[in-house]
Amino acid sequence: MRIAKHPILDFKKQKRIPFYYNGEKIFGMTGDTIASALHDNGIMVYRVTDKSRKRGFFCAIGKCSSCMMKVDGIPNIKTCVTELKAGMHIECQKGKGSYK
Amino acid sequence: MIRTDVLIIGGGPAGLGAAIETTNRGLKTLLVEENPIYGGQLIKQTHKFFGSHSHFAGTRGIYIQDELLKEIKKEHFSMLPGHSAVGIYDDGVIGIYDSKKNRFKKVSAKKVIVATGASEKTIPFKNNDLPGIYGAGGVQTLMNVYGVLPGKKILMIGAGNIGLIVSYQLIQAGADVVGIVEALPKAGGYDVHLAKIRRMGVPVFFKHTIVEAFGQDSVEGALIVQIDNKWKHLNGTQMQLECDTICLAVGLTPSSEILMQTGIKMTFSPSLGGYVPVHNEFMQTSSPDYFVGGDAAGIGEATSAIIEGRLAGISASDSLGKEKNAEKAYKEHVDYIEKLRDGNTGIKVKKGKYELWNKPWDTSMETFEKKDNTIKIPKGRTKAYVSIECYEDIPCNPCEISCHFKAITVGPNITDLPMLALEKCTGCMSCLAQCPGLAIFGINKNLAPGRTGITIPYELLPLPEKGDPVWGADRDGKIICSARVEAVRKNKNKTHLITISVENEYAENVRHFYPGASGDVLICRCLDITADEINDAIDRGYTDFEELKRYLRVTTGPCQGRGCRQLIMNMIRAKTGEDVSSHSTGTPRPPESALPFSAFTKGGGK
Repeated sequence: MRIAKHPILDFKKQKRIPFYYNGEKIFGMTGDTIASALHDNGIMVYRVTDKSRKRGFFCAIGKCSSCMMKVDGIPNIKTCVTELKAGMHIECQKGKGSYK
Repeated sequence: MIRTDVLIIGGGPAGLGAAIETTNRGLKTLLVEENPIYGGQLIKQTHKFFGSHSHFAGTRGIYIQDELLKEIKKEHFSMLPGHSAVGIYDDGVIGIYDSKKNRFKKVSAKKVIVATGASEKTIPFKNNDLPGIYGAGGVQTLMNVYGVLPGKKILMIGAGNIGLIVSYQLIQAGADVVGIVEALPKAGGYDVHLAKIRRMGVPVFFKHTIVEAFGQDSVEGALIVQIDNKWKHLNGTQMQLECDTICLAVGLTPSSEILMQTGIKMTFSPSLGGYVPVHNEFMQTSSPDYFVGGDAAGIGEATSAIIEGRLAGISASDSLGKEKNAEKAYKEHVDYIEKLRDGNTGIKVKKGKYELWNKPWDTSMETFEKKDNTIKIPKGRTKAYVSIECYEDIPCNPCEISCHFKAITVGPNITDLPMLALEKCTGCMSCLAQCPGLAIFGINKNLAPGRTGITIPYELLPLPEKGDPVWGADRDGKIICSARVEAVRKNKNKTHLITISVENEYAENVRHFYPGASGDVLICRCLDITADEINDAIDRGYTDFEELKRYLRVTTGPCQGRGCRQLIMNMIRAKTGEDVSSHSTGTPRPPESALPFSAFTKGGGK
């Protein structure tokens, strides 16, 4: 959910950019990280661990490793500090991730 | 191999502070920052900073990184955002990772300044890894940097400064904070931050802790419980709270893992938040090649991080022979940082640092004489004045600087309380918008007969308009009276001043307001006639039902007065005090309920 109006901050209007989440086309904004774009789309589960625990992001500054996902086929990408680019393929990561 | 005089790891307040000092001494400086944006945690601090006016106090954190960047000498400076330092190897080479190009690079630096900040702590409870449970800093990043709300209903864990500030920011962004859970019997954060969220009606559950989070894919609620002095759960006090986000503000721990690779001395310091590199007053570690500053050197706040960074920068320059008068250069910063850590709020960090520096600690340093800054308002005072509700020795002085009439004094010790000289206060209220704690209110007892004007610093949306009906709330956020907006003074710094009027008896207690509903009380629905119109007609002498009916047409609509007759009779009785039971209530005529004219033309017969 985007903040429409803020009493202190002026969010510059950004361009909508398409990307794919588990094959489905959705949209983020330029300037988004992958994590912020997913959250705006209501997607909060970024990976499922070996013990079947669902994980979202946690620290949002690249320190905790909670938000690692498969991005364009590469697993374990910290999505909270990785800029979103048009056409990216993001996948919910299973376990420790794989290249398959 | 990239060669540089100084490598700074981390582009937050400490890293940028360090770069100011090294670049201005002509040292070739390279700064690597893991995030795509520099500024560290400054970029999400929408509140005004405390501290001394001469060091950014009163400025919102979000503007400070650009101010720091201005002071850096660009010709000696290069910055690599999106690059993280991943290792310091035995030969002193630093490995950095370019996340954009997916490339590992090597850096050779004469001196390294580590300003890597902190990580968020977490606490154990059932399902504490459920999506929707976020670190407070994470929540701040999501909403204040990327403009995405983490959720609608937030439960905050921790009433330290971060928990209190982020709660306030969540409300500013449009979320609802369902409560703040704090294990201690009092808030760890500044009183003024607590007061701000309390008067907005956010419940604070002291001596409580979270037991579990529940939800399928993400948070749907939490169970909290009261605890005793030994942290034992008290059965019977469990409470389920509905929320979609749980925000953990349970502290930070220094993030100096990279320095551990160098083999420098580390130590565990509870008052500094965990394992910290041993360092001296000038931020040099146990190795002459590595320096540290900011949260990586012990958890503090952003202003002291800037200063520590600057000290680290001077130290590094000094060790490279680029500082002729080091003692003088250090002194200004060392003195200021000491001042920042005076008072009850800074003492913990100060003690931790003194232990580290093997500096003698005298327990008398832990007690502070606090001035009494409450003032008595003389009965005859008609001029407006300000009520400074700042009773804690936090390092801060923008109020003193903002007063054009020298009515407020803090003095050289910025942890001293502000003192108001009432006779000098003109009631101009300039200080209200400058106070970072939003702890100054304007009082005008001469606004209108029987009514007091209360001016409140306000940073929420929507801004009310003059004339709006509002509800006056007390310091706990409880509505205690109706009020009206009398003036809206917009300020460039976005702390706007709203003056509301309340009946005099509420003047001491109203410190916040909630928007009231504008609109009318409808009495006759058929013909859209309001209570105000009826009362006005009664006042003008239409004091019985037949007169009102002819004058306003009440009860002549399709419902035939079913809805309003009784209400109108009550209104006449209330206004005139007459017994209306003997009054005429009009004569109902057919048709009893509405029917089309065509029904008459078609039927009925002769």
